[in-house]
Amino acid sequence: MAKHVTVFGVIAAFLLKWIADETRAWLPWCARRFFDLSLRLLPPSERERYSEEWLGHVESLPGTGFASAQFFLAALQIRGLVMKDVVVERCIHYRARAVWFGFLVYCWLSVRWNKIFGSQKPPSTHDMSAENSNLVVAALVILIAFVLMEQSRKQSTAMA
Amino acid sequence: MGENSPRITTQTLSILSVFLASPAEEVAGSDIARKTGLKSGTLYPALFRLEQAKWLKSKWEEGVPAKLGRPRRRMYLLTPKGEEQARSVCVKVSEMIGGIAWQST
Repeated sequence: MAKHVTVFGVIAAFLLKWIADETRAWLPWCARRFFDLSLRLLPPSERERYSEEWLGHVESLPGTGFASAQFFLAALQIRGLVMKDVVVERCIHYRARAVWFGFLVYCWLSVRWNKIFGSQKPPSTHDMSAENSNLVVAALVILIAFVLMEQSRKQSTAMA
Repeated sequence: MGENSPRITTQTLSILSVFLASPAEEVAGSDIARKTGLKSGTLYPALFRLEQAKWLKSKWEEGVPAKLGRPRRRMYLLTPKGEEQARSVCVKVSEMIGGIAWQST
């Protein structure tokens, strides 16, 4: 039994030393790959800047290979912050488009209603004169679309 | 870049305190990390937010990397707006902490 324990201990010690040496040898390579991956995560507009800035940081504050994981976290957050603006801009852009699309669908439905749904008119057109109500709704939709377009144009200009 | 107010966290406060200690001095990211003990994963997003809000501005340090013998450092400087906002935030936070300390005694 004691003989087995001794043999196992020697093998384990040998294996652990081998793993530690290998890890130490591979760590700079892993750190470099992690650093490159972090830079690739950044938006293209920020990549060049942070590449030099972070290299300067590593030069002044050399850490272990795990420090590059911190740059990965930083890149993820900066990407999120930059993309947030882009997403908001896109939403504003598509909101205006959605209003125009809704307006076109409304116009198409008001013309084709009878053919699609038979003779029954939509409830709103029973009470009022159909033409007048259509005109009022169309004018309102155009007004809202115009306001939204102006708003999105102003916000895009401000962001630029 | 938008100009919304940045989220004020303890990490942001410790970064601002470095700048408020010498408002006219340009500080590099690594120096802030050394003084505050913040990791780069927290530090750089916070600096990015402060720059987005126009509380900070940054520029490359003078010199060519070949002559310096190392990569150039990005130097951060507090803007007048940033200084004003940072001071008011610090006052508010110290009042809040003072109030809490007073109530707990």
